[in-house]
Amino acid sequence: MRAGFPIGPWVPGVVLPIGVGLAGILTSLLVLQDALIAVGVAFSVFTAVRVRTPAPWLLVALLVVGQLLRDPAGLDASLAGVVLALHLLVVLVLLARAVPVRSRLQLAALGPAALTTGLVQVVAQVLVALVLAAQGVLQVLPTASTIGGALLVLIAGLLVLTRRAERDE
Amino acid sequence: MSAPTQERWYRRGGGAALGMLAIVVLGVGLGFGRADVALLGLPLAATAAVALRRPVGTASVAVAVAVEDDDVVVRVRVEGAAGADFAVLAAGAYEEPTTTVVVSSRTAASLEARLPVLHSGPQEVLRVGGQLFAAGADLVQHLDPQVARATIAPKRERVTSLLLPHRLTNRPGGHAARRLGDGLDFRDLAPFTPGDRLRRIDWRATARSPRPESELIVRRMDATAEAAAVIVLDSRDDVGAAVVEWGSDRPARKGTASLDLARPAVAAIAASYLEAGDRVAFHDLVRTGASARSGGGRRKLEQIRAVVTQTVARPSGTIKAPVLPTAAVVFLVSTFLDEDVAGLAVLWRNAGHRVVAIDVLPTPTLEGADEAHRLAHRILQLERADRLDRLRRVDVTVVPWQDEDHDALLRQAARSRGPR
Repeated sequence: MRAGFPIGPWVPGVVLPIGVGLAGILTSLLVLQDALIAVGVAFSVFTAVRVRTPAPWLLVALLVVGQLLRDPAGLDASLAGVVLALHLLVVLVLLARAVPVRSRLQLAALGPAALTTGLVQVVAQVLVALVLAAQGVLQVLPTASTIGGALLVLIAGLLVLTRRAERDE
Repeated sequence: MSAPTQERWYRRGGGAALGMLAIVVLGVGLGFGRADVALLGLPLAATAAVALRRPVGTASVAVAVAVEDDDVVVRVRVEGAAGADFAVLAAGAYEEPTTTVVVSSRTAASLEARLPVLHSGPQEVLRVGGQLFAAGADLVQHLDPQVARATIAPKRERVTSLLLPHRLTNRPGGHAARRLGDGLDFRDLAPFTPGDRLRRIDWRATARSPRPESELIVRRMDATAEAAAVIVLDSRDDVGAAVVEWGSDRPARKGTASLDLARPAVAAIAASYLEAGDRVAFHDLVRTGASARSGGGRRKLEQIRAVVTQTVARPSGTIKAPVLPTAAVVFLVSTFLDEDVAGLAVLWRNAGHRVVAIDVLPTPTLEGADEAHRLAHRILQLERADRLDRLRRVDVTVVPWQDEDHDALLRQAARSRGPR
């Protein structure tokens, strides 16, 4: 006998730590080089499993160090992806630390986090585009804009869906 | 009522850690002249800034229970959740393990769970507690657990056959007595005697009578009388159909319990006698149990229903035999799992009462029972069967209430009327 609340569209709570792991792996692949990639991927998996420990913050630090080690002359459109992936990683970590793994996570509950993330990314992606333009990587500007625009559309779509789901209840 | 305070909110530390990390990243980026690294710190700083938001007011959980058809509807409201990001609610139905849902603050303001009615009587339906998160999930407020309780009344049933006591009371009632009176049942014709009412004279019979003309013939009628019924409930046991759960108290797993059978049985018997104009008393056999004094009418029925609805199992209770009116029909509602109750039935039968043993032990299921359980249960059932056979031998009517045909059994027993 389980108490079932009808909450509309939902996903299992375990999606959040899995998302942390995936975001960590993606960022590691974008930022880290050589042997550090393996370390980053392994640490991402560990972070996903132990998301309530300080491991996520160490992973973020590792990724920032990885970015620092990259040649500044080799900046390209992937910077937009890195900024977004690292931001997603942090947001997912904060959520995953609060949401129990064995829970039903209503999509509408992600609305405030998705809204904040979207707004911050609008500013961040514009700045990324400006930095890339200033570095003379002009040819990457359309690419970054396209990626950023696509992500914004994605986030906006998610927001609309969650709001609608909430309204339907 | 106290004003909402911010004292109940706690910072989880993630925002502070993130803020420090963001400052370091921004510092390193600016220090090394690396705009790309500083850009990585920007979203982190923004997220940390969100976490620094001031907490919203104090929230609390409110629960309300309603019984609709065959369901219990529990409405859960997290009040004061506006401004929060989401709520994590853990709810356990019928003392079972909890289920956790994460919902938006808007949804948390109005949640509804629909649960099946498993048992009658007072019970815990749902226990709900949780946490409210705000400021990017960095602020948390613990919500005090709330328990939704419901009291489920037994269904309204009737028995179609009334077993009458061996002797009716002297009060006028709905049953034909064997003494002379003013009832509607014709008894015989007899010569007029002083004291007979004139309207009782049967002129036709008088005319046909070969007796002297001076002798009038009257129609004599049976009197009507009411019966005194006493319902005694043994509330020490509340065992379910699942034998493996007899030692535990898990409402969701024990199946139909003996009190679930007993409550409607008491209500049905009381309703039937009271509708027939009789007097009914209800007693809980356990010393501390509630009772309803002998009486009649609709209000008495509602009183007995209310008392039996509130009756709960008292496994450690001691027995106190009630004082019975003279020549009553006694309904002893029990599982008959021990000797004490059977002894009382024999005692009352020997005192001249008509005794009906209402057996409310549910049909047992041995699913999940190991060999020791099965053996113990078999011994218990054999002892119980012996006990019930002994009651039958001393003219106690035994009616297994879990049997679908319990009404037919009562009807059968009603045919064998004793002297009145």
